[in-house]
Amino acid sequence: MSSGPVTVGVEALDVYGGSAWISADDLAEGRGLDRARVKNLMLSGRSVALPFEDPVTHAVNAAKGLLDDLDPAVRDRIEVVLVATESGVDYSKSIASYVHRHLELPERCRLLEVKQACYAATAALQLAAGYLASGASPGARVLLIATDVGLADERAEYAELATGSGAVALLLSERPDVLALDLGAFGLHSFETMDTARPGPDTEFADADLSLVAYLECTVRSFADYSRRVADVRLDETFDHLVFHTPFAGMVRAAHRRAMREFTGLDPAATAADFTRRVEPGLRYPAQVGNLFSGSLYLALAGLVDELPATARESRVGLFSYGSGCSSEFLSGTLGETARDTVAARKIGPRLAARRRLGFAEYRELLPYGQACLLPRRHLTLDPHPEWRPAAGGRGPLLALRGIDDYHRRYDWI
Amino acid sequence: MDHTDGVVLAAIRAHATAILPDLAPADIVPERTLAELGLNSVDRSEVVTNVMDDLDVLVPITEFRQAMPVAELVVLFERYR
Repeated sequence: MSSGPVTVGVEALDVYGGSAWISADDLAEGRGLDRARVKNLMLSGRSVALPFEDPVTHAVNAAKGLLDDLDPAVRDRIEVVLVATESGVDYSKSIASYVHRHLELPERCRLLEVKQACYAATAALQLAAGYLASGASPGARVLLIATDVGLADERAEYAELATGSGAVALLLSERPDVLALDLGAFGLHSFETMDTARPGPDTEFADADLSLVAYLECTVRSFADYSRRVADVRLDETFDHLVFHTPFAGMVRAAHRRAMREFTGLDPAATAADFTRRVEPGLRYPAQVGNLFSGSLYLALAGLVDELPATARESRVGLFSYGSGCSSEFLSGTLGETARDTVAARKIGPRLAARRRLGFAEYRELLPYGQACLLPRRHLTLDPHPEWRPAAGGRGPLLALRGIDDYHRRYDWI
Repeated sequence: MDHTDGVVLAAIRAHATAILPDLAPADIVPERTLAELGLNSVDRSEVVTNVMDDLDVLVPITEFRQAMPVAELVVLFERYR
C-alpha cells in the first residue's frame, strides 16, 4: 500500500436527464399558472419520463456510457453498487440488483439500495468514501447511482414545473479525477420532521413551508457544524464554488442568502454578486432537467464542472445536501485539473440539448406513466410505444421496461 | 397576541417588506397569512428564518406549518424567545 495521504472521491460521473422535456413556459401556460412566478423558479424546463422508463432504466441509462468507456480491468474492480432512490419498486428486492444485471457488472459485488429522501446519495457517498479510504480493498471501485421518477402533477401547482425525472451515476475510487473529497471535512444536521414524504408508491405528501424552512436552517446549521470540525473556514473565502441540492434555483438563492447573512458581513449587493460568481454555474443543468431528488446535488456539480474555464486550476467546492425527513450535510472537495475533461467526455450538455421537446398535450399523455411505473403489479405487458422511442442516430443504447412477469421486471435495449 | 412587546411583529414586517417592497408594514396584520399578502413559499421561508436570526430565537423547525396567520407566527416566536 502507498504511504501517501489517502485520497478518495469521484473518478467519473454521468447524467441521464431524460429523453424528453417540456419547457417551463409551455407547462405553465397549459396549467394556467402565473408566468411572473414561473420566472422566480429560474427554470427553463423539466425532463419527462417516457412510457417504458422507470427508476431502473434511468439508473442504467445514466451509467451505461460511462461504464462502456471504462478500461475493462477498472470495470472489473467495481465491488459495490449503491442505488439511492425514493422511487423504490419493491420493499425487499433492490433496484441495485436490476442495475447490476443490466450493466453486466462483476458477480463479486455488494448490492444495496439506500433511502433518506434527497440526502440518500450523499450519505451513500460518505459511507463509500470511508470504505475506499479504509484500505480494506485497495483499487476497488464503487458505483453510486441516484435515480428517481417525479410524481408531481397539477396538484403540486408550481412544484410540477420544477420536478424532473432521471439519474446521476458516480464512479468512486482512490483515483478522483473529478472531485477529491476533503476527508473528515463535513458538517451534519438531522432531526425528525414531516416536511415531504412518499407514504405510498404513487403518493406524495408535501408541506412546502415546513420543507423550505427546514432546508434553510439545515444549510446554516450543517455549515456551523462543518466550521466546528474544520479549522479556519470562511464561507466567503474557503470555497471557489458552492453547489446545493437544487429543488429549484430560487430555493438555492434563498439558502445562499441565508447562509451569507449568518456567516459573513457581506451586504445584499455583494451577496448577490457572490451568488452569480460561485453558485450560478451549478444551476445550469438543474434548470434544464428539474429536481432529480437525490441526484440533484450531483447534477449541479456536473453543471459546474462543465462551466469551468479551460484554464481552470485546482479549485475547492463546498456541497450542501438536504433530504426531507430530514438529514443534511455540508461537505467539500477539490476539483482537479482533470475534472473538466473527464466530465466533458460524457457530453452531458449536448445530450440534454438533443432531448425531444414536448408540447403540453404530449406531456399530459405521458404524465400518468411516470406514476404507474412505480405501482406493484404481478403482470404487465407494456406496449412498446414505437412513437415514443428516441431516434436511433447519435445516441447509445437505452434500456426500456418491457413488462413484468410474476413481479419480475423485464427490460430490453432499444 | 397576548404578552407581546411588538418586537416579533415588527421583525416580521421588516423582513416581509424588504422582500416585497410594494407591501406596507400596516398591511401585515395578525389575521392574514404571509401567502395572502403575496409572499411565495421561498419568500415566507426567508422571512421566518431571518426573524429567527434577528431575534436570536431558535424555534424548532417542526413547529412551522403551511398557511399560519401572522398572529400564530408571533405566538410561536414568543414561546421560544
